[in-house]
Amino acid sequence: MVISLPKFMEPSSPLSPVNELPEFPLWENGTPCALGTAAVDIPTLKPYLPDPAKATGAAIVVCPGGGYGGLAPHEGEGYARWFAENGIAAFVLTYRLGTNGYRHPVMLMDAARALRTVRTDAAKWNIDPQRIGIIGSSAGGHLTSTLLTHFDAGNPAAEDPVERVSSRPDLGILCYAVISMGPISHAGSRENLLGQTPAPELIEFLSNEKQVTKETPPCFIWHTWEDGGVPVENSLEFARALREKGVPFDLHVFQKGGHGLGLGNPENPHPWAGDCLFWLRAQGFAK
Amino acid sequence: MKQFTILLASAVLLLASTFHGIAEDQPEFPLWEKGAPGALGNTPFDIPTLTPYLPAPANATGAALIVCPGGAYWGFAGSEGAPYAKWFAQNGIAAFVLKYRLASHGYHHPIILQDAARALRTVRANAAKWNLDPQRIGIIGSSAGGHLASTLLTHFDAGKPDAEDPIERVSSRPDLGILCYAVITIGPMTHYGSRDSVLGPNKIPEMIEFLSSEKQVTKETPPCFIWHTWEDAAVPAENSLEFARALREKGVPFDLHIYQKGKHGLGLGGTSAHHHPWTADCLFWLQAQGFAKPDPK
Repeated sequence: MVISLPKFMEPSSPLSPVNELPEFPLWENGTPCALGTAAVDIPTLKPYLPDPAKATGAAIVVCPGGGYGGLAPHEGEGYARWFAENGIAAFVLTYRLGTNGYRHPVMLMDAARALRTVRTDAAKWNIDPQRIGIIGSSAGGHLTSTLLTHFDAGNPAAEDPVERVSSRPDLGILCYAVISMGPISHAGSRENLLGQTPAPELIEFLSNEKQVTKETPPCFIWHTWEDGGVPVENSLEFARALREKGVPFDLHVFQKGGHGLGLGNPENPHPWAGDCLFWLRAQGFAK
Repeated sequence: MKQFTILLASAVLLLASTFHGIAEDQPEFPLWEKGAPGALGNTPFDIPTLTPYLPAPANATGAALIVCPGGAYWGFAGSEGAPYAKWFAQNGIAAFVLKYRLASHGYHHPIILQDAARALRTVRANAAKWNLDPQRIGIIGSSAGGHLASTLLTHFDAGKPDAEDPIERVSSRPDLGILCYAVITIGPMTHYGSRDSVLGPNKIPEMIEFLSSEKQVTKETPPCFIWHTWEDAAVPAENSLEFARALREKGVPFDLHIYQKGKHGLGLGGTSAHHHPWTADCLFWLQAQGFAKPDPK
């Protein structure tokens, strides 16, 4: 029996195969700060590798959004498959969530560990350790922008080889991201990350538009003007900070489009994806 | 045989024009039939004109754009006039390339703004003649031409109902604006060549404020599509960033695209498969504004 897919589920062009591998935990010997041993207590990475004939050697860690209270699949696996089809190895990060009792800095620990893990094991996946980026959407964009502004060089004396390498992403992609923990923030994400009454110093530390330096990696930033969930000021202010520090970026504010649109309708793809590939080619990530 | 050759040539031309979706070339015409106000002479540089590029009727959306090429208010960049106009016409939008008066021939503000406003009014007053919707007439400008476009976007008027000239009776408000690596400010982030040209000898502070378009935005400013490159070395991207910021503060909808890569003045940006994506972004926005058809070409 032949099952025909609805039209919108059919690929629009012949796609290269994607090698989906099983997810694996970020820490083999127990997760630091874990509150239990359930799945929600164990952060993982799930690789989606490109066809070796098409691989560019670049990689990207994918942080789905969900208000630090969930993980939206279309911003995880959906993006990962698209990157892999374009020759970029993608690793979807399952990070720990506020709704399961976790608060900052646990989420940042998970994101930094993910970056270090891919970098440490780059050779295993035929990846260039100097071309590892990170993408995040909505609250996942907050996590991404936090790592982009709070990375470290690693601890050369660490026993664990993963902890010896840098957590600095080589680039960042921010999709309708929460950037600020100040007045323009997304209240739900903020509460899940910081609790109900965060200290002013913590708000400042995690308002990433205030944490940009000239060492912040190049970024591709996009948002919609009409976004009713996360105000576009988050992206505008982050771009402004990058500009002030001389960090190169692409910034795309589309008038139309709702919050969380992801790759959009495959029948009529949103142009941000084309803009992003154009930028990724210039960064040496895509062919 | 000669007749046959002519017939064949006509058929080829017709095919070519059908393929590109553009109607026949239209002649350039002056903005003022009885001479431009403030004219300093009678040379072509003293006579502002419009040159229409019309879509093939089957392809037409009824929308129109005034095209203001750049060139520091001193000359005209060819790549930002006719090529844009033909591209719009291929996508169903009637385009009118404006030849405005230049500082290199003794003209400054407000003469140049008068030319742009007159262009908008002319297309609106004669909309029926070209099968255009008088409520869908936009303006696009590049570099200094973007300054001129942003000036009209922030300094239009409703027209004079009692004017003798019917063109002067209609509004000069564009229904949308497209700003390509535009000079916006006459303040510190300006392009100094354009600034000197538009101000002329009288650099009075009020005029600097008036012509710094990021300071002139109101909630009546039309929706805009704004793009620039991060690495633009001639006109800083701050011009576009600040204009978008002002629009946001006033609640005016916009698209803003800052591309890291690309030089000042790149125009349509080539025709290869990997050509610059701003044109695709612009068409997507023009479709949402009802200027271009949902499925162009």
